[in-house]
Amino acid sequence: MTGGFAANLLVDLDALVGGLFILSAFFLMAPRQAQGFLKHFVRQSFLLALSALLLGWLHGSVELLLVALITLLAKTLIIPGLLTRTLERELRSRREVELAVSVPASLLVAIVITVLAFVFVAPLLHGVGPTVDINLPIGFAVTLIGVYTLAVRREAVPQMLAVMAIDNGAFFAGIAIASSSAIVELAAGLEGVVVVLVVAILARTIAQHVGSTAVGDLTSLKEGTPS
Amino acid sequence: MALHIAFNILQMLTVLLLAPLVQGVLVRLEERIQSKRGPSVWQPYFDLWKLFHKDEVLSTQGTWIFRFAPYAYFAAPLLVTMLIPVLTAYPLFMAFMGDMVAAGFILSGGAFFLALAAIDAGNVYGPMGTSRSRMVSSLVEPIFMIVFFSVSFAANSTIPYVVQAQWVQSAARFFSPTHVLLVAAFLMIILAETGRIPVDNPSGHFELAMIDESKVLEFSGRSAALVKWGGQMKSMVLDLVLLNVLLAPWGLATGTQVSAVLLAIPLVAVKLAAMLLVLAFIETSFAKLRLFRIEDYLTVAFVVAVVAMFLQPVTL
Repeated sequence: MTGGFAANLLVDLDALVGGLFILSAFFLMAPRQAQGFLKHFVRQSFLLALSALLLGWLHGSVELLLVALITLLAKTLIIPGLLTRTLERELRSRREVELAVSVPASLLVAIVITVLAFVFVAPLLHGVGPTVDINLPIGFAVTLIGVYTLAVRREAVPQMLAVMAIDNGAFFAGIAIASSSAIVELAAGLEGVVVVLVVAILARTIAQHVGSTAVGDLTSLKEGTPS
Repeated sequence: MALHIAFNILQMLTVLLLAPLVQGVLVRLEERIQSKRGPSVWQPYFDLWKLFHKDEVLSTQGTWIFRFAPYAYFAAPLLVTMLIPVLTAYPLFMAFMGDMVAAGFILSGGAFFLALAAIDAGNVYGPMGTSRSRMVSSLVEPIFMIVFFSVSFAANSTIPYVVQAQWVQSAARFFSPTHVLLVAAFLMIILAETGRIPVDNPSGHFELAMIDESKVLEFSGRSAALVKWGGQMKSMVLDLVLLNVLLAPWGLATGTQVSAVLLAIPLVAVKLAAMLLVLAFIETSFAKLRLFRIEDYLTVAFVVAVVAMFLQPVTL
């Protein structure tokens, strides 16, 4: 445990990261191109790693520092790298992602989701530490926003990144609650990389057959053999 | 009391005289970031001097509104400086004449006359730019209100001088998510309201794309100078509100000695310079949004402001 003034400062900085983290969740809903989505995802993951670092320092927990390192490596370096390698053309295309609900409308829904998340979590926040106060509701809200983003995107790459954003939200809440579950997060972090790899290859195959990764269009069966 | 009135006038003079310099430094910084030389930081003063010495041409279609609007637009930010902390941390003579809503109202009043004048002149681009800038403003207005009310709620007051002390009471307040989100939302609407990238391109003069510039096309001579100067003061005033009320109310004079207040001028200038760096960075690293994407941008700002408001009782 770090004591006194330094501990307070760490808690405050964690609150700052929390504010930026929920901000990143809203920014994640706005872009219409796959590239922008990836950029915001990387920023969000970086904030998650930062929060894990601060909390690890605060609690003197090696596991959390490890989580920070894994997140930094897996989510800000390996996953974007993998995606860029396998899906370069799709990712860089200027084509706009098809949305089931328009951006302003889904952002307004995000307000409701955030408020509900805070209302639901409020009863759990009696007598817990100041970092849980910040991380738990914000992590929960970001998770729910991620689920919603996943539902309204009709495109393979943004959908996959939305799944990883859900993961980010859950981790953000998780690192504040349990400070010694590194094994689980280690597994989840590595699993994320594998998931991204599999989906990226799948998406590339789809792109080769259909011409794009707009999975929203894949609603009817195609006759004949694929070229 | 006489001293307070003097300080009030000093605040107005600071904004009046430094606003073109702020503009000049910003332009210079942007050009530097783009590896260009850029005009001198004093260029806005030369421009104003030149315009004040030129003849004015009036549209035959124009009415008194066209002649009156530049003065209204020029006076609005000056009136607002009487209400906000520019140099002193304590309320001055006029501080309780109006609150933040009044400041917003005065600024909108100036913009209202400018919009009328743009239509009045009978130029085809004027009404087009006006309708666009009204679209942006009508979306910005509710966000302004929400940000103001959130900060007022925390401070139990809507007077800017009282509000500014609120966020630096403790480190926990300063770093709270509410504060982060409010600052982010306010920065986003400043960019929209002053016609900067990503909403509008202040240096672009392409008729079909411009928003703010098209309103001032018809003005010439002294009117053009007043509108230009007014616009520069408006962005400086909004920057000062962000810095001195919301983000970093440090460096303001706390004593009533003349020397303390004079010392506050360079300190505020340093803060402004830091802010200009951020603005120049934003301006050079983003592209202008398409007209119907501005809505997305402003909805993000709206959502951020509303969530900040809801988070307030939880995180403070």
